[in-house]
Amino acid sequence: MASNQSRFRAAHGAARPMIVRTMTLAVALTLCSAALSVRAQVVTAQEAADLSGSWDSPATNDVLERDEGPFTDDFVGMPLNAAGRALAASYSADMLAEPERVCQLYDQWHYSNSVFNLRIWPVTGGPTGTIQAWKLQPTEDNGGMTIWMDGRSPPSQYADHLRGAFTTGHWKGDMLIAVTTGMKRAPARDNGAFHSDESIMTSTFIPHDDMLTIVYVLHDPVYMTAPYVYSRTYVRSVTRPIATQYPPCIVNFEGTSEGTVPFFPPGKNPLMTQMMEFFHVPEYASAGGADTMYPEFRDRLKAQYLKLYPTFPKKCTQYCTNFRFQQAVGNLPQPVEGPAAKPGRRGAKSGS
Amino acid sequence: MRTFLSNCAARLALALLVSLGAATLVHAQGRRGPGGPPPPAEAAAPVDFTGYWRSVVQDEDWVYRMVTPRPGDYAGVPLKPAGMQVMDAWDPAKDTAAGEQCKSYGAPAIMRVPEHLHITWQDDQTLKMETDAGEQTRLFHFVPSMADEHGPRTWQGYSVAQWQLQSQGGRFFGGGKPAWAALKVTTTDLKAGYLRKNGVPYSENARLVEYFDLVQIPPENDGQWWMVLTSVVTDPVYLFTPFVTDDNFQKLSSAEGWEPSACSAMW
Amino acid sequence: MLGMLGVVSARAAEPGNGDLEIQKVRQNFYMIAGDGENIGVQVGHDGVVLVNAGTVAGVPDLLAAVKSISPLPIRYVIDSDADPAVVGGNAAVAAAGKTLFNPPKGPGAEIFARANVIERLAETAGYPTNGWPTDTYIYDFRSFYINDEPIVVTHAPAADSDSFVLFRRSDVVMAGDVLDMTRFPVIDVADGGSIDGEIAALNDLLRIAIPPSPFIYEYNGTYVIPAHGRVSDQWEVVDYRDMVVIIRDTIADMMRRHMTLEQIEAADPTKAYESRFGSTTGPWTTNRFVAAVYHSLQAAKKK
Repeated sequence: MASNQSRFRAAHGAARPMIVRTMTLAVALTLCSAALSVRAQVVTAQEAADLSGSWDSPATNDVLERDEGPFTDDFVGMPLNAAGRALAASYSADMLAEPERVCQLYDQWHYSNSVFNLRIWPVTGGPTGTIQAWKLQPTEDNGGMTIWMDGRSPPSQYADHLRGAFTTGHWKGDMLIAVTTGMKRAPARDNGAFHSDESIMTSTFIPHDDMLTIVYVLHDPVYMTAPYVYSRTYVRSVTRPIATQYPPCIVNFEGTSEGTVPFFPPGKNPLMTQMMEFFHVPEYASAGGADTMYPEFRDRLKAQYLKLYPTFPKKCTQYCTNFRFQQAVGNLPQPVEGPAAKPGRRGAKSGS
Repeated sequence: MRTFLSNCAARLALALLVSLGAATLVHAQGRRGPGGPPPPAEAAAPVDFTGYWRSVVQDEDWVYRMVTPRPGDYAGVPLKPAGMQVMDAWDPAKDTAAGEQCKSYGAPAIMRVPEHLHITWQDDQTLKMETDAGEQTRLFHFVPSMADEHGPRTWQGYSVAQWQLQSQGGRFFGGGKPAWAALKVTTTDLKAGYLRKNGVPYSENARLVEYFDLVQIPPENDGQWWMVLTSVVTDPVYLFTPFVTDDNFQKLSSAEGWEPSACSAMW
Repeated sequence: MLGMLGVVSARAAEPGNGDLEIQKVRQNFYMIAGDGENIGVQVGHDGVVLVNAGTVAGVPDLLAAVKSISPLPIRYVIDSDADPAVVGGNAAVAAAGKTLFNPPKGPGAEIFARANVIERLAETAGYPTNGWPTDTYIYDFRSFYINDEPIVVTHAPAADSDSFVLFRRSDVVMAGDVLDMTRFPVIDVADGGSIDGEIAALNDLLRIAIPPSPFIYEYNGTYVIPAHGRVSDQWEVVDYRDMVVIIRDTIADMMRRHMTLEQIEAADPTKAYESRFGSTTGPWTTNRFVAAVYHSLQAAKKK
């Protein structure tokens, strides 16, 4: 008769492989799930960086253009072709007051040269709550941007170009690269240089610490000879969420009658002298073109510019600063500003 | 018992290896593999900034960069009244006579001067950037030297660099080669100079933080490489908020267009 | 007289092809592109209403495309103008359809158009009479109520035979030749067309095509189907109208300075727009457009 001890040993002996296997399996499963949960945290490409939040625009770059509007003949650095230049030279800002245009939004390219703060937030969906899209909205006036992250195809060539256009995105490292097609024809700069409805815009979102740099690139085969590139940096707002206001827009009479189309015939735009008048920049530079973007262009400007430089007032009298910094400094002495807003500002009357 | 335990340990180890074998890319930010010093900066870089570059000024303060700004024009610069006084006293002839014609070529300003750049590795821990405009040289030290870091003030100051490493599609931890990186450079020990050629000043207390990124334009495989620079200048003496600017550079295939020119107080 | 001015008919035939694309516009409205001018398709329990019938060669593909949208019969073909790219398929498409009326007015679908279309088709050698409109209107508009929807056919003053077709509940308007997203507008001087008529038609279209104000972030407004190119809306109509006015006024200014047509063409009054809408080849070139504007301004001056 087997002893209790031997029966116990026999029982254990039979059970031992099963116990070991079970323990091994349990440990393996535990470790697997730990590793897999780590893997799940990292493979979700949509979450490579968190862009969500409110972003202030310090607007220390091109501040006059972005805040108050560009000068009427300021196309410096724009790679315009002959058609683009002709269109820009014919532009009258009174066109914005056409009743049919009063409630037109700015398009997606306007993010690059507007001064508005941004709010960015993810749109989640599906059973696992993955990020399907990122949404951008500035404070007002823009058609908005939804960056689809789910790999969807662009609409047909026959589909309407919506006010929000169509944008898809993917990650490269921590950079979100968004490609926008289906935009409407709209201003590339607020003084009459337009981009066509065949344009493609690429926005690369690059987070750095508490800042977000966005590199905007516009390809326009109709009006430009080279990519048009703006980089803008925003700072994460820590004090307040950016309000994305959606005020209703009612068409009012803004000075241009229905059916009227304000413009300047070729060679008859009286406002093509501001860059020379205020900055001594000659017309061959202010008219734009790809060569005005490069360092070599300075050689062409140098002699004439230095000759004219002594004619500048010793103290700047107009457009020496912008209202943001005047407000910040308060009652301290400021340079004297010019008397009137520049022609060419949205809604302002211009000679026509 | 001993056999039981050794069998168990062996199986456990096997299970461990199998389950962790599924882990893929890793995030190497600030971490090193088990044992050994970190690789040198040049070897650790998953992106390549070397080569020739040229400024592309598409607006982005064209009238303050492509030409000498008007006297007293500081639009966009958050300048305190003390800074305005310095600006109003700007005298390029006096700067030239004093041998200070490079005042507008210091680190906080040099990247905004339309120019060509030549970037190389001086050694495997120091990236060198030369400019043709003003013939300046910047050194980005990945391993700062205490002796050099607080030496005499210069136009280019002392720059400490680090890679901000990134992985494709997410953040990981562990070892392995990262897929992408930005370059962060912090510069101090500056000699007082000008943010703009017309005398808009920065003091020797200024601090410059820069982020260099490589971007392809367009983003497809044959897109041309551009370098996008985000600069933040803080100066408690002359600026009441940080001065944040962005500049773009296009990669060139050769030194074509490289034209060294001496500093000029006027142009 | 028009021959002396060197004006020829602008209604050149456009080849059809088998590459049709169906674009859904609204729940019950589609656009078919790729055969002549864009074709509008309204569907519902009453059957199918087509705007335009495409080219003769494109009829089989068109009928197949319509069948893929709705199995119900074609009840109406509404012609937006007399262009061969619009009316070429009239006879065959109508024959494939079935009138709503009982007893039937005729064996197939009704063909409806402005009365002038019959005049133009009667002048067209070889055009079959069973492709002529079976019903017409001579005043400013005619309306129908089909598939629970008001359909308003309005004369577009760009030319004598042009019509807009507004589907009021769907909020879609077929603009015909008045709006073309691929080229400058065709000014058919032989059909009574003129640049001022084109501009008047575009202004009329702007009163039909409603923008999404006040909730401009929420909606897109009325959809406008052009003669060619993508589905559009009020934004595109404004841009197109402004372009046409600017070109007209630029040429008028040059004519006031006594420039000849050759001098005007050399001065390139369409420079800002020709890379988007112009052409040096095909049935409607930039120079033909400039000449049409010039001649219609001349004719207007003489009146």
